[in-house]
Amino acid sequence: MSIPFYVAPEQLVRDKAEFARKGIARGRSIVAVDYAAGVLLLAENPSTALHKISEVYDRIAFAGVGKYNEFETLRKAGIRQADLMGYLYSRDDVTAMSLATQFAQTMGVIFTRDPKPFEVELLLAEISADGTEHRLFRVTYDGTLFEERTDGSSGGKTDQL
Amino acid sequence: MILPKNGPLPLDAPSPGSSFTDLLASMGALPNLNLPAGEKAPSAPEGTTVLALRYSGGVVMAGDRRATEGHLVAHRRIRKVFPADNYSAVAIAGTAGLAIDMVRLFQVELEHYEKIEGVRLSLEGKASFLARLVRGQLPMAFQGLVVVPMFAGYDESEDAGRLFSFDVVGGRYEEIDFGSTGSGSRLAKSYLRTVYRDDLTSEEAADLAVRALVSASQEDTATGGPDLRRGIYPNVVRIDRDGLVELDDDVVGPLAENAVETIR
Repeated sequence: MSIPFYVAPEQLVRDKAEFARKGIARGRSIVAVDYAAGVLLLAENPSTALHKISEVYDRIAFAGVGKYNEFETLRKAGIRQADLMGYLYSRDDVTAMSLATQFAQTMGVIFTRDPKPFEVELLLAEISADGTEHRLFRVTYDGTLFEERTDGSSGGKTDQL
Repeated sequence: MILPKNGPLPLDAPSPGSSFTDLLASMGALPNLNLPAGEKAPSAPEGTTVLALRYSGGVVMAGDRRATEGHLVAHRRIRKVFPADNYSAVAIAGTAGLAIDMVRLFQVELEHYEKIEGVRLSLEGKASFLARLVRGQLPMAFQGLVVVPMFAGYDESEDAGRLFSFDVVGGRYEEIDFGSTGSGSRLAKSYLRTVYRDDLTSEEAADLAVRALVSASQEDTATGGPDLRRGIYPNVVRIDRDGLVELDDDVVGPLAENAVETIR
């Protein structure tokens, strides 16, 4: 029986993170900007076949960057979860905060457990019922969750944006 | 419910992956529609008369507001006509509790499909899916808990309103002029048969729909006529190229008052 080579956990995580970051940097950028009446999501999308920005629920939108099949999987999973929550409880019980933490947990599990992490970064925007308050969340490949104050961007040349 | 193995989000769904109902079923969260054999179903409120008729460019759907339990009035202002999405509506007759739940699932199904696929289901597709939901109720129908809906909507590919009636086993039948289901449906259809024309306007169609309900309520005790004292009027929706519009009581009220005064 062959014994697998020992790889230090630090090394493993560092390698996976570097791999995911490179994949995301190759993607075309998405930006979200908070303005008086709502949140604007903008994606550079040369394809007519990709859903980079999508409705998730009544007042919640999703934008993804990175590897298409991976953020499409996450987009659909988010819609499924939102519709499940809304059906089992009430439409008011579906919040971006709850969805964002679930995206974070799911991506975190995949980052640590799967040999290849998801090369994706997500933005989740929500406006309140009266339209006066907005929330914007960013979830990174390793499941880290950020709440952005006024704007957020992912993928491609984020620093310049 | 079974929790997905990849963290909390359901990354996997049963193929084709666009059906909310199948997702619920795969999680074991669909309501159980099988009563134990030999059990007698409890008595539950029943919804009564709903109808729909086509006019040039669209379709009108209407329902009275009464639910009965045996000889008693169970509810006076129940809703039996629901928007299914922006271009279609569903009306229910039969066991109200089961029917309203079916409508809720149907609404989420249509919305879910649209968000996942990025396009709306075709009108045919929506009607087929509703037939499948009715078929799923069959074990309950054997116990006496029957649900029979109607479905109407605007078909973009044909630029016309279309309507479908169903039977208890999930049979789906397209009606070319008007249709009705529920206890007063025969009376409502008899009325519509004598006054229906192919070139109705939407206003005329709404007026005829209200009149047919009032007409049915004159002989069928389970159909509630307009309650002028309490201000309870039929639910009426209109669906055409511009989408679904629910008529306000300000519009339906005068139609109902007029119908009550003129129908003998």
